[in-house]
Amino acid sequence: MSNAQTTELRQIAKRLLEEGKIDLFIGFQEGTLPLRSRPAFVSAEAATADSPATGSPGAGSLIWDSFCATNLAVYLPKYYENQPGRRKKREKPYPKIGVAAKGCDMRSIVALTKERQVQRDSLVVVGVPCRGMIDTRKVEAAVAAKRGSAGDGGSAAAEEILEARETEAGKLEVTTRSFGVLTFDREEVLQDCCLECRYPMPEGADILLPGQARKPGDGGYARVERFMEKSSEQRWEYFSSELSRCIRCNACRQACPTCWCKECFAEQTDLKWIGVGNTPSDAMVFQIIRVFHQAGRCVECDACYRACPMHIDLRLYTKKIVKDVEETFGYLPAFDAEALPPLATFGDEQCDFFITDPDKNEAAEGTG
Amino acid sequence: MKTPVEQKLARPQAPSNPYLPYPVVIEEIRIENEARDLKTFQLAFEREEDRKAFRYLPGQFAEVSVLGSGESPFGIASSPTEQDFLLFTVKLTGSVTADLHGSEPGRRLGVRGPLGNSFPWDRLRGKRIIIISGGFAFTTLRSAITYMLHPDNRGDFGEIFALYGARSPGELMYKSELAAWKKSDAIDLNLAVDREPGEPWDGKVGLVPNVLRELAPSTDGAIALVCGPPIMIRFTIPVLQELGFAKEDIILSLENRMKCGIGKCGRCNVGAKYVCVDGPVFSFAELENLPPEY
Amino acid sequence: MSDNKERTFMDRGIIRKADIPKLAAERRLFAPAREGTVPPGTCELKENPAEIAYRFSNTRVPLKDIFFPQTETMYTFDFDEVSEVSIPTDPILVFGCRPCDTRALAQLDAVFGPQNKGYTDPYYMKRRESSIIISLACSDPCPTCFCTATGGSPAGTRGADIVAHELEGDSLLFEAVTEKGSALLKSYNPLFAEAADPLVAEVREKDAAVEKAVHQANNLGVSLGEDIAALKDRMDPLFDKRIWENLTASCIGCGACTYLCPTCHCFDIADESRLYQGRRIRTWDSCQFASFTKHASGHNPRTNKKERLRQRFMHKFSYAVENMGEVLCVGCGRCITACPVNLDIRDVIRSFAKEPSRENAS
Repeated sequence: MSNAQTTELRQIAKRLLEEGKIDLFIGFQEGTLPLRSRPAFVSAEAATADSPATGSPGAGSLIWDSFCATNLAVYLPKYYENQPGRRKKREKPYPKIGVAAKGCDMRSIVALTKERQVQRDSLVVVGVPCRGMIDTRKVEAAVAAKRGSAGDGGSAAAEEILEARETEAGKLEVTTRSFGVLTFDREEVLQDCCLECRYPMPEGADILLPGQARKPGDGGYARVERFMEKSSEQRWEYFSSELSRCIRCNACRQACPTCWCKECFAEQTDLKWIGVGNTPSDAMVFQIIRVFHQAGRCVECDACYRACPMHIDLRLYTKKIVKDVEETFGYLPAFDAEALPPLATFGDEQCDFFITDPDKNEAAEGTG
Repeated sequence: MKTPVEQKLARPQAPSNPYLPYPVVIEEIRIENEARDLKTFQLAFEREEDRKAFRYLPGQFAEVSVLGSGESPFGIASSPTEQDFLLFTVKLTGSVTADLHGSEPGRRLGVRGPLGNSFPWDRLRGKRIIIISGGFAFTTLRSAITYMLHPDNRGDFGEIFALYGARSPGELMYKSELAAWKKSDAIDLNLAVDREPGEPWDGKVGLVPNVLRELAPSTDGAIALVCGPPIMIRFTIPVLQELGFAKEDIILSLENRMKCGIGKCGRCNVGAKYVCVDGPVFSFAELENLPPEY
Repeated sequence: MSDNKERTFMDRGIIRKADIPKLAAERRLFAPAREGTVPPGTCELKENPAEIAYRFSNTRVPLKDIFFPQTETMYTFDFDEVSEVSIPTDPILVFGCRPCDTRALAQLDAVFGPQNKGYTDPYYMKRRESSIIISLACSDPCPTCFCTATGGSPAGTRGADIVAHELEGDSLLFEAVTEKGSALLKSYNPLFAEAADPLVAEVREKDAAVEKAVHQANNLGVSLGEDIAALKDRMDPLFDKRIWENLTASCIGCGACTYLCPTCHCFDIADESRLYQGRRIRTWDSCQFASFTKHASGHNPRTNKKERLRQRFMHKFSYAVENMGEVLCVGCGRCITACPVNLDIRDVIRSFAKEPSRENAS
């Protein structure tokens, strides 16, 4: 399926590779499942065409559509990490990489730049004004609703969907096995993170694709606020029942661009913070700490939520941490590479009574 | 012709729960090196039937359990001819070994095993044995040498040449055994240190591969047993080949991260071989057919 | 090892769906159900469900979870005193799992059982020995099913004690594959009606049609049922070639594929203790995790994800063939739908299927 963004993206990637401005372009190609496009890594040799001999896709395979939800920034730290051999010799310069980025991807790139996990000047970011990405799970749920929640008729939702196609008119046509073609408005089946997204336009991109970004959303705190109105027993009940499905596969952690630690706290044996199994307390503590480690860094891309094979409602908690950081520190990780992350900085004006005068009454003084 | 010790072995009768360790108690702890990060633990079985069931040959390993910390695989440093105890020499590396190093005699541990294959004793009989080792990989070779030098076994083997190197004299392990072997006619023991030590030293100076080249033991009817850190092995093998050893006659012992030790947890494989059951002893000829993932 | 050969069954009978729970009178029944699943509509094996689901392709979590749970206690200890745990041996009846999953179970039997180097894993085997498996043949495989390419079949018998087929009306045809299955049919004789030959012939015809459909939907260029080493012969010579860089570039190194795979069985053993009282547990582990092969010294034989993902495919299609005469993949397709970046095992298989076999390589 071709559109203006796809055509432009292919030309840009091809040009950048042929001109030697980049060694690799990371974008998307057609997926093998309906409603999915998947990451493509186009190397310089493959600039002009597909290279079946090596299996690498060519610039001509790149696409841009509403199934490009994956946050491509997740691949970047690996290219810039300090390998043991590189520590002393800088003869081999960092690779130059081109990457397609939506608003959330760009925010992750900025976060990674601040944390020195990518070299911004070795990147050529091709920004895509984002109209939002389609939520596979919403489409599956809509198909499941067709089947009816009572009784056992029809095959399971995921297997119902044979094909999905975006139309020029902004619709999604889904061909199913039992119910013919179902048509949805894009907005009906867009990801929640996209409906709520405040930064659909990737500011600071080196090249911008044509197209109109969607209007920014409101950040989506309303759901968190409603949830916080429940009693603590109800909230605990929800959290523990969601996490009871956790199989500790680490997909959430691996899918997140800002989870880049070489050794995750969960893997340390010396000290051992949590166990490795799916004992409820281990699964819950893992998630709590993971989310807290994302404070001031999470860009609300929902990569963790999409990656979870057990469909755990991770996005409620990531959204909560984003909200807490914004409300406490007035900070959101966006496009300003100079803005200091609050949990990585400590200024004179911040309170430190808990170190200097721990008996002080914090309620009376207020927090910093 | 197998000795009585070997007759009951190659694969012991598998226990009903191969994950349960035999209880053992630490009889003695000896510090082996100057850096004090290598300790030898002398362990005794609590139950006589366990001691009898634990039939092993030099080259095999066991999983030593430190309840609360975990398990670690260690080459068995004692020889089956030393029937009353097991010896393991442990380097302080991680959380299990740290717990172990902090132990006192009298502490109870667990041992699972014997695990893995051993040195290929059927092939080694009647041969001249060339032993090359470096660092703290010498553990299972202590077992092999003690075993071969035992009066019951010495006649089964030809000349024994051993080269053992360490960073400095203080880092050599098993100093009392080394002193005894130095004096013995039954083995030609050569010791080496990497650099000129700042103390009186009558052994060789140089890296093991270089000293081996210099000493150039004959390869006539010989099989080489090589145990050492990967880097030493990498440079020793070409020297052995230069001297005339065929690939099948260079025997190595691999290490890999292990958990179950019985070929089920899928962790320690090098290609289609599991280091815990198909190894840890492999010939260089076998290793060449495996992917270099070790 | 192909399931596509002529099937011979021992006993057979027709049973009403409503009577299935009666078979589990003295057993714990596990059957596919939708109650309480997230998201609504998906199917999981539940214990004693109120309503058994029939309209599904496969459960999300495979059968291995019952016999090889994600976390289990191997034994407990109090200081240096070890107490064995009693391994649950309450009889289990699994009904409604798919033939691909039972085939995977048979492969896990070969890993955990004594034919693997003489050691028996009692935690797995004791549960297995007291279980009866009744699989439900597929009539509606999903687009990601490729069992036929791996030597399986939508009505395959391997690993099952009884294979069930849905019939018109509300009944099922049960055909016993093992003595255990036969014994079950005999002991619940009153619940079964006779199955006439023409009916069974019709069922066989439908099976053949489904098998053909699966094969056509996912023809990957190899038929491992006919040539178990077909992929091995093509993958072995390419171990250190560039093809792996390209195939694995998009992998993010999460363990989802391995955890949802019915044949993946790698595990970790760890101690959990408070002061010195605690337990030694066995948990699922994945060759995709960076620290899976990391030595205490810090040395790691597989430092990057290309090497780790290559290990997964080599283990399944090459090493297992050498060690067990099996391909450790049953074509269930769960890894395809679980992968967050849509890395597709079918692409990997197809890429190698195109390569010359080692025997024919110049």
